[in-house]
Amino acid sequence: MQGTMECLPACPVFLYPKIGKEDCFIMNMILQILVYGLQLGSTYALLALGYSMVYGIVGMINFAHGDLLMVGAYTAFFIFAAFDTTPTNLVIIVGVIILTMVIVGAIGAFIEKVAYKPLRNKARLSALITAIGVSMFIENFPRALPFIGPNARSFPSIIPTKVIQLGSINVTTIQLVTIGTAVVLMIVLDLFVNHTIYGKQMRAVQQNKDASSLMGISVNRIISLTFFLGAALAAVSGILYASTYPTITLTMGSTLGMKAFICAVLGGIGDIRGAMLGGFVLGIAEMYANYINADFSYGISFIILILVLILRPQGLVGKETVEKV
Amino acid sequence: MKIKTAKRNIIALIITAAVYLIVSLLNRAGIVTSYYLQLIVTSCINVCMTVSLNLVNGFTGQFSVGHAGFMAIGSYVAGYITTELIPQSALSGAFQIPIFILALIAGGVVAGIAGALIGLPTLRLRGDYLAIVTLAFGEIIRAIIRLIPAVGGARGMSGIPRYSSLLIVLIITVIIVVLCRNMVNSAPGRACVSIRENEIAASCLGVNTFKYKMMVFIVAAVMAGVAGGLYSHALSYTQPDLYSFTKSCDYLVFLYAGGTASLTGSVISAFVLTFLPEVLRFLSDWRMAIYALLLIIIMLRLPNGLFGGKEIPFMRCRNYRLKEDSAKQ
Amino acid sequence: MAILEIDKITMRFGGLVAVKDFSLSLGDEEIVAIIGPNGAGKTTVFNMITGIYQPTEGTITLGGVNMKGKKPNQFALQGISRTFQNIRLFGNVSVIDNLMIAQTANTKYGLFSGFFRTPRFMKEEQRMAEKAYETLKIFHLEDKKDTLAKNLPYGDQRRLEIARALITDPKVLLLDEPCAGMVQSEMDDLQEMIRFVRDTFHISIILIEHHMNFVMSIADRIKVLDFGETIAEGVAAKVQSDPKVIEAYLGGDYNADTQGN
Repeated sequence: MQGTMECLPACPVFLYPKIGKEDCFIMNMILQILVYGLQLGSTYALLALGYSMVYGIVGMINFAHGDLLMVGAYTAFFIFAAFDTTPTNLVIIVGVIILTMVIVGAIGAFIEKVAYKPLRNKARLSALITAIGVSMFIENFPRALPFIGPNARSFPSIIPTKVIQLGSINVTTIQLVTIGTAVVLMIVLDLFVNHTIYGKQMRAVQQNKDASSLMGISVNRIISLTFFLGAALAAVSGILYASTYPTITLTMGSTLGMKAFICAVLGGIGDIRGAMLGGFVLGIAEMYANYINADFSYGISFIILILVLILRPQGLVGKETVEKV
Repeated sequence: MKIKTAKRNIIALIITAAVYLIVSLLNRAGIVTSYYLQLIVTSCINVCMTVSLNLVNGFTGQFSVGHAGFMAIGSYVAGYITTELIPQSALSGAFQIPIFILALIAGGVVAGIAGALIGLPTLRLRGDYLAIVTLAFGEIIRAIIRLIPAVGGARGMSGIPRYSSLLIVLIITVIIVVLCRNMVNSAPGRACVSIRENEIAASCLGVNTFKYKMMVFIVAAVMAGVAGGLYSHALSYTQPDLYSFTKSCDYLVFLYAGGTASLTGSVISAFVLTFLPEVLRFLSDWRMAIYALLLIIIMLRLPNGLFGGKEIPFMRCRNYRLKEDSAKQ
Repeated sequence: MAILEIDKITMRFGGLVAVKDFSLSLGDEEIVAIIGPNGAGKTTVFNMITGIYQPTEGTITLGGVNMKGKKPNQFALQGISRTFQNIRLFGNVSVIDNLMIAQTANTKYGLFSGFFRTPRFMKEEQRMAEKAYETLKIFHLEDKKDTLAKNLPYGDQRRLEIARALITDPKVLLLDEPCAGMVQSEMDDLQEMIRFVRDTFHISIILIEHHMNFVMSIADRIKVLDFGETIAEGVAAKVQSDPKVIEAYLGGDYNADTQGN
């Protein structure tokens, strides 16, 4: 979490949508910004899922999660760099993305095994401090590696940029792919969690670890699976984000991670559908706020967060918990 | 036992004076460079931040993660007073220190007010929500400061007089540590511990848990504000990005590595972990990675930190003497 | 005027009625026992009398004051104190400090005196420590005063919790299963202690307990709850022979149920 203002706002100002006020009616403009909001929201939502799933299942805030977005972007970058020319074949691109998901997912599960699992039954907050340590390590270790180093890289354009007229608004292929991929992945995840045996086991572990293990569920395996899925989604989020904003840096994940964490809280942390909703809400709100004032767009997420926490502390869709006496 | 506490206070005073004399003598002799002097000053400021954070996170069991936000307020308020309102050039030498002290207090008070405003709605909420709100607060403070042209916006303020000499920083650090120790060993401090241990039982015993949470939160905010004032006058500049979430994380790391609910641990780890990155400087690019790795290993090996809940004798004080104790001895 | 007047309190959680129309008028130095099968709503009654839950209906009057909308700490200041079914001691704090914490509300110095260790601070600390020590003696815990509460044996923890409740100078003491996990000899001791405490400090006691021998010998009055409703009340002998009580404990529907299956 080496978040400094330098890597803010979430996307560099010059890349924010430029909308000519004179040739747009208000309605068109609102719709146009909505598209940008949905695009940013997709990134947030995919990343927020990891925070929410992990919190739901082991009750910790995984501060290192945002950095996995960066790991995803870099992993994909190096795999694409191994090709002579950036592939245009859709099958290869999808293959690379899936490979990246598997690698980053494995890294996520590995981090849990090494750094969080030994502290699972210890004071809850010590795991949080190791998470900060892990975050620092992920951001600084590649810096020391000779073939990566501290410099920013330029992510290849894997999605050909075309502008499509949808009524009176313009939508780019990148935006369509980003939003489409996010929505498809979220539907798949939702089906997985609600309708497969592993999903049922995940929900059981979330309710009660001891009872689950008595029912024959391997709690460790389910926790690993949760971290794997969260990290894999973060990797996709990183690739989609880098396709839109191709400058990738080692600290790109920290600010995005904090925003995504806020999304998870907005939706009700621990709740998967809540994280998706929170992601889109924040993405859209930020884009509208940005249109008014760039500085305001940075503050808006925190203002929304505080309002939600005061008015509806359990989040938009979260359930209230009552301590039993 | 009262006498014993007084004796310990005197010993602490002597040790502080000795440290000051030795360090400044070594500095004169050129053995301790001004770079290391600055590092000691930073360490002391970090001690103030860590012990005050310990009051909230360690002793009261609340989880505040935006401590740097209060530091930012203190640093700006104190800095604004000594740079813009009553600049150094307008003061004769004798008035500089009193004005500085007043500026520090003003910074602490404003930070304390901010603490009250944040605590009021959020300390009623349970669990992690305080963490999330304090995190948001820390960021909002920075966002607000960036929008105020009078204090330089995003560029920050420069030309702040270097009032934070080693002596002043050392004295204020000792005062803050002693006040924390006294608080922890008094009824309000014990009430805070009871909130950490079992909030429901505490309230059923008549402890107004909300009042004590507010109290400790404000006390910690005031101390962080004072530390912030020291910080801007040690650097001679201040800017919003100094107080990012990274900074708050640093203090969390100091606190948990040292061990929660241990003032001794906070003091030692604030010193060690401030110096460690400098000691590791020979590792060049690997420095921060190794630092992070060390931190993970410390937490895995010692989940309760170096001094979890333990104190050296100076940090304990007994306030009473039972007849039965003296009969046995 | 009874020290504690409970008038038809009802507690609903959503659609579930945990306690219905519970009433009690507690006299001075009286010991009342609440018994009933698991889940009958006994602890819920305690949670309402201590302000942890707000009753959905009905009123609680404590020392002449209507306690509607008051917080647990205000209930405590009004003279009510309790122990918990699953012990809630301050585990990482020494035995004597548990009792020091319990005197917080009666401490006559503030943050400032604490910061600067004023003479008043020293005097108050000395007074509170002596009181704590005297209370520990009643419960035979004085030798363990510096042990961390979590390291005490189970029986000692139960007794410490009672000591801690007592040191707040309550007028009404609520004991939630004080004998749970105790052996017979410990229970006999506890019985003596409770009587001693009642006679010395002139307080009234309400207790929840499952050990019938204990309840029958110590309680002046017994109230029996089943599914949140009061099904019987009165002196021990009367309650014991009440057919409704026997049904609730042995399960009147038991035979019908098994036959039905």
